[in-house]
Amino acid sequence: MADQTYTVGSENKPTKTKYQVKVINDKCIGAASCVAVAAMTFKLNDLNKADIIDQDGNVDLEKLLAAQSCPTAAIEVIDTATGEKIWPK
Amino acid sequence: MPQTSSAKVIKKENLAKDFWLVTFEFENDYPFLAGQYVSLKVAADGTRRSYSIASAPNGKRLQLMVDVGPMGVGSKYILGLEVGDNVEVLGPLGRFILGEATKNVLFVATGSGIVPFRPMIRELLEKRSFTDEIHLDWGMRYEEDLFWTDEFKKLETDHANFKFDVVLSKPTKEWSACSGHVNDCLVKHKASYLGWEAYLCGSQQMIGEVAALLSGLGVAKEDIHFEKFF
Repeated sequence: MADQTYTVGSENKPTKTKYQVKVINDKCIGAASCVAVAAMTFKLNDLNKADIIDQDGNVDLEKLLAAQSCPTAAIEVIDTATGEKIWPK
Repeated sequence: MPQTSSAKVIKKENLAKDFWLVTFEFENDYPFLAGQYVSLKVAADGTRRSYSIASAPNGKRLQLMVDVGPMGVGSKYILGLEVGDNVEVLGPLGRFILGEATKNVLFVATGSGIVPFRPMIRELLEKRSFTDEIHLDWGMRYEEDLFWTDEFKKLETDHANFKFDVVLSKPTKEWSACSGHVNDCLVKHKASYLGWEAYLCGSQQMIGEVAALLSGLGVAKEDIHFEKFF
């Protein structure tokens, strides 16, 4: 993330993020912490599960914090530049 | 949007069996709304856990009440905290906050679901000078699990429009107040909540049951607000 200089909550979002998030549906319990942290990326659907609405809705740091806030580790974060799974470790 | 901030532990108290009240101080003022929560970094790998804010907005200070009963990674982190330690706080988070509050308000909690209600009720009574009725029904298992009862009883004494009831699911023979589940006692207290607004916080099961009950007792669907605890 050295090439991105922003703080959480910054309005200066990159147009394209490099972290790709994925919700593991079976693990999601609808706690909605991901929505609270990265509301432009996640939303809860009618089944109370997290859906991804826009991979580039929030900056990478916010997407990572959203994943780390999930109590069941239901969100995976992949660095598309390297293919590395950033979260869960 | 939420921000990450550093805060220092300035006090840690064991209020009842598994319930710990931790007071933090930030370098600068930390504004939030009554009912919101924060996410703490509880492990070096970045794992976070969410905890409701137990205090009213108060400059640089913030209190969290944590139930360490689950004894997961968050519980162990909280138990290991010492005065002087720094924590990484993400927040404030959440939309479980008071609305305009133009009608009678019912708060129903189980377990640590009472935590966000403490600042919300104080805001209604002390900041907004709310004069309509406020009822708080709190369900716990055992009497020894209870905390803040003196505080809520005092609010009841000081404010004629505030009523506080504790419901125990596993009471002793000496327990003279309501026993069973919170939904059982809501019906005993009032035959109708027509025109009331309700805030529910606790287990998913309680919220489902109480929301259905209150709908049947006259509370409009849009007036039932809830926050699930996991």
